[in-house]
Amino acid sequence: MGSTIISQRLHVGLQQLTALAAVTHSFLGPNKNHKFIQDESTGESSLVCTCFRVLEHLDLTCSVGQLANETIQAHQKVFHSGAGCLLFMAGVWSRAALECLHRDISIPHIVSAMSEGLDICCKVCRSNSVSIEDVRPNASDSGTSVLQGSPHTVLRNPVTGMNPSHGALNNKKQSRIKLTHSRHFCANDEADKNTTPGLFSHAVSSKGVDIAHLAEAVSHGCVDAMSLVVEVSKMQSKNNGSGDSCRTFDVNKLVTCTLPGLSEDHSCVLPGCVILLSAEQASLVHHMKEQKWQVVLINGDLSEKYRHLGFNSKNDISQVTDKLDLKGLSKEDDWEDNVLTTLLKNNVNLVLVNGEASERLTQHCMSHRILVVERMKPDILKDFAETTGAVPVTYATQLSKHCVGTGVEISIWRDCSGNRRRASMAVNIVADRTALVTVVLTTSVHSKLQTLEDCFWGCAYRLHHTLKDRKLLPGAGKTELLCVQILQKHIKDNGEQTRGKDGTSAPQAKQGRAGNPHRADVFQLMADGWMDYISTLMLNSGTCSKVDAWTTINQQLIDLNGGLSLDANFSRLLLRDDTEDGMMSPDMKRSAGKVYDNMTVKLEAWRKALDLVFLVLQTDTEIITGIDPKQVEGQSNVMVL
Amino acid sequence: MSRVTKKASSVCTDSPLSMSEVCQKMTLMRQILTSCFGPNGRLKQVHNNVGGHVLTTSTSTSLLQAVSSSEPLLKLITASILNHLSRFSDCGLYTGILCFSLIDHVQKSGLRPSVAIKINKQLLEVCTSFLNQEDCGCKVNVDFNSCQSLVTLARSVISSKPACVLTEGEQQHISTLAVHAFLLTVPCGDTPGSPDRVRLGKTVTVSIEGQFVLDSAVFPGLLVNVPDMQLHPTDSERTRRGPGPFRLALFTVSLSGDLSEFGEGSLEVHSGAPDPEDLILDELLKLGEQAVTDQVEVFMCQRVIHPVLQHYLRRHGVLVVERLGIALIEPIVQMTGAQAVALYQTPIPPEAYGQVKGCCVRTVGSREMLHLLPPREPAPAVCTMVLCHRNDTMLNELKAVCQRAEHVLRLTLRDPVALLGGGCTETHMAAYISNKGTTEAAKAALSLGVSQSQYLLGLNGFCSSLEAVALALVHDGETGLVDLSYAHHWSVPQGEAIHSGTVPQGEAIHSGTVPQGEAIHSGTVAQGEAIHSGTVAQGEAIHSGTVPQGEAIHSGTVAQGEAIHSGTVPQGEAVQRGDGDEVPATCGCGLVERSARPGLEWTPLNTRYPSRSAPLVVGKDTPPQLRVLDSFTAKLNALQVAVEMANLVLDIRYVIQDVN
Repeated sequence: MGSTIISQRLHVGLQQLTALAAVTHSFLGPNKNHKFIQDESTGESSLVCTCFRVLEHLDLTCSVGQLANETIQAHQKVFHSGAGCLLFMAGVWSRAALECLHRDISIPHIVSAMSEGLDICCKVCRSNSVSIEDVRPNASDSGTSVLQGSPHTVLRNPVTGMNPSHGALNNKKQSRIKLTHSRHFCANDEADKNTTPGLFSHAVSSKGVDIAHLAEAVSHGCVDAMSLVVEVSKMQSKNNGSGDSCRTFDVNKLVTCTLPGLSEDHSCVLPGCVILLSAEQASLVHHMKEQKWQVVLINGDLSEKYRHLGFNSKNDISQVTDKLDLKGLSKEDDWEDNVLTTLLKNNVNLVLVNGEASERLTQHCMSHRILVVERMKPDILKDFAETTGAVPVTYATQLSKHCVGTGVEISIWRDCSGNRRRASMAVNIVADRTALVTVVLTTSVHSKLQTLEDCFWGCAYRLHHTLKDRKLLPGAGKTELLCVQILQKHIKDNGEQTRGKDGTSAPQAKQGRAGNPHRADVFQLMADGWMDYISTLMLNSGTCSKVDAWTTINQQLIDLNGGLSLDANFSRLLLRDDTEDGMMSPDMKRSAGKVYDNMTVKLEAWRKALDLVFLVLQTDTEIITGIDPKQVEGQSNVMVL
Repeated sequence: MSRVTKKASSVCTDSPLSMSEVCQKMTLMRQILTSCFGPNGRLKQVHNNVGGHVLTTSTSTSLLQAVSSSEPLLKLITASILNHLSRFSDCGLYTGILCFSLIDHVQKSGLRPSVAIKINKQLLEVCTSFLNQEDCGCKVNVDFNSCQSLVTLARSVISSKPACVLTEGEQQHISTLAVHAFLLTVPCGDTPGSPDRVRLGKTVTVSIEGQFVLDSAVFPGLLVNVPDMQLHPTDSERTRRGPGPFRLALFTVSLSGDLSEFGEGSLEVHSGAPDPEDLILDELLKLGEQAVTDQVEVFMCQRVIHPVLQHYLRRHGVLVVERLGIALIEPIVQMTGAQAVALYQTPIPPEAYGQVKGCCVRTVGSREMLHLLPPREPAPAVCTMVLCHRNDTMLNELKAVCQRAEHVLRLTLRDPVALLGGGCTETHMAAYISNKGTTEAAKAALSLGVSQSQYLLGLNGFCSSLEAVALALVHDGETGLVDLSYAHHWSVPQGEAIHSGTVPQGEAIHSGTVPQGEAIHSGTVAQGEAIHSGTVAQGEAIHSGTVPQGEAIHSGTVAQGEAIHSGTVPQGEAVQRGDGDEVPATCGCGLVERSARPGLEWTPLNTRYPSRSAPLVVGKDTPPQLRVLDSFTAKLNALQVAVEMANLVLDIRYVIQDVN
């Protein structure tokens, strides 16, 4: 087997990236258009409206597509937001890079100028970010803002009450290690900073800011989802004694439960977790109301056959016996009796199982008024372990007194039967002092469930990042406009510098910069990428056509002329609702001009977009391995190694 | 039915190097390697034909492992490069480029292979002895009293791979970390037990995708991955308990309690007899009891630990970590002094216990990991390098590059010297050999039994091959220059007009009659390339209307001494003097500064110039900050491998392939 080489002198990769990004253009902005993805071979289709879901569903055969997908998924995994911005910018900047190549600008020049451009813009964006204390609710009550106490992040640790500066969110180092002559560098005090004494708490409490207003600022049109997030925050604040106001938000203590069939206004927030039970089991719950119960947690399956992970079962063990077994008791019966006795002995009422539970045992337990719930999410089990004091075990036979947790309440939340083949009841299980909150998402359109869930998590993480960064960027395209302005300013300065240069007087540092003769061209093309972003935003908002948008933006840029403050009218323009069906709610109209974006997420998305462009730009060859040379004979652009 | 098809007879290829197909493939391979070379190199996307994972890289190790060729000669060369890399990690592309270049030059020169081989061998010896000379002009000492040269060495490795996509600040951060990790693995004082032997510690790399590069860090000791559920409240309590040292037990045998070690075959159990699983569990619990009575506080296993045993140990306040994986066992043994126990049926021997100073939970990126602190200072230190990057592709490249940097730094302990990077070593060495070979040609030719002209031809090929390596650093229509005094390598960016000419600065071309303000071109001027037009008659102006603006030469700039060329400059005089703007401020490695050395003259690389004096050695009394340094040990070996491989390939007369 040999390898085949495809030389990419034509930079197909950049074109592919642009094309891929174009797919997601309609997702930008608050008015998202859904897309249907249909699989011709299976006939399956799915409804999507986020960038990362599109990529997930596409069959990305080209290598560039895979690279893009990898980047997007990695970003999504860490930030849970901003993937659309990433892909959009990757698309427009790869077009910019392609244009640079057409103008015969060499690749190192493109790379250095583009990364310089992004560095400049990121720096300016950081310095123009808005502290969350300054994100005022609305003009009417901004005078009496809720600024109390010193505005700094306090990391709360309910378990230990440890020093806040040692919190889990402090993992971004404050100062880098400076290399000194010592071989051990002074890493010790640095080393201690990163330790996390309290393991499980990620809660961010925010003194001096009202989460509800912040949430509104980063809702990005998802008003319903964001109001659920605010509800979550309220409930979490109440649980840790902050009263009725929104003071804390912990995205790690949040789970979603999707229920198709009910209409969307049934979506709500509940403490603890919500599970679906059969009618039989639910009837047991009726008897369990309004009392505190004892709970045990099982990691793995609750069955006789189950063995822990890493245990290689030997199948060929045979029992040899010399007398007839008259009792007829199987091994499983023994096991069941054993487990049931253990559960009864320890007064267990509730068994939460991570895997599956044996049906027979579940029935048996039910007759003894013990509720067995299977397929619990690991996160939920973890929370129960923390709050009830239960120790998770792998085998039920392992259970002893100290493994049993206490203080669990069970209640029936809602009857969901009727819309499903099997009767089912939604049951709410709450442990004392839990911070865990469940958001129940309902919709009568089944295919919208995924979208709703994505939208909700997007909102939750936007709020999370807001509280984590404690800074926001002006949204609705204002930050992008700022970037365009900065780059144009640099282009202008650059031009003046070149004109003013006599060839001798230019200082060394400036000469190094001016050493890139195409800097201005690259900056302009980069800025055009951001212009494209804003204009697409305006187009999607339904306010104007793309051409009009460019005109408006250019006019804005002229009007600004040097000053870095931006007109609020501009962003209002972005959100002006003159679409006929009136897609914008009054809430959104009110909040126009008060739109903000997450700083870290946005800047990191830009950086990753540029990474992607650079990787593709600097690739000149595609090598396909494991190909029979005879297959590709006669293909003009292919060489065989 | 044993065999349906008849066994085909072997295929024999006579003088494979003369086959055009072989040559074509070798050229292709050479192009691939050349285009990958250096910080401005091009990346390659490698994937299989069924759409597997896409590898984006310009690193020789990853590339050569992924790409296979059907050509035996190429396989041979690839294998030898990979072998070199397995020993030195660095200079893989260098080996390949030099090797292919040598073969190519011999073929072009028309020398008989046997003659060329002899000459190459002799010249290799000259090179080796030159590099080993005390006063060799391309060598600098690595000063262990400061980190400067070590960091430069690391940064040269790290910045050489564009697929890492690092900003300058990030490059500096990672280079510093690489040096930090390296220094942590150098033990202070003697290794206990063997006073005259130093045993280096280990660096374990943990890579985390999706985080900021600047979150990468180095920790003394080990970071162990513990899945979420394993961090039981009791464990986290343990991690906070006062200062150690803690006693540690380490097992390599699976403690999962299964019967796998009985091997194949069926087992018959009497119904009255106890269950074998229970028996094993009893055995394991006995082990646990011993651990608890022996006051073990950290209990680790390479594989799975039975949950009941885990439960028992945790109940007694022992920190339990399972599924460490084989890679971590040796570093743990080295750090804690524990012996890995491979048996659970017998009690743990007391000498098998190791020690850790403490443990804590550390949040790195999005992961929570258990940090084991080394027990005492002078022990062979083990450290963990946490590498973070924005996506997987770049992270993989970064990981490879950091491991390479670590190896390169370790090689300095054997030879505390480094070579000038940026192509300067190659151009300098080529100039030295060219000079030495030319002056001693008669003697050398005699001793080799070849004619003097053959020797000079071989010499020229060898020097050109060395320069070809330096030239490979130059991409994107840049031009490689060499200065005539120190023979260092200078690269001029695209778009700047480069010419050779004897014209002093500020003066127009010596084609006297050309009216000022008029463009002078040879009709074939290639974009951004060095121009030697041998046909332009003196005084004749040729206007090429097709030269795009800004790319070629306009006489408007001629007056400023920038664009000057001429067709009639005699060879050997084709040099440029002065400080025309186009030549960068320093040479490739940063040792020669233009401002500090006025009167330098340049000529494009790989142009023939008649014998010249031996290159001067730059005085290193007050060396300017060197930008690029290469590993001495790796490059020396790479040079040897390349020349020997080239000789071997040239020597191959037949290729016999079994096609069954």
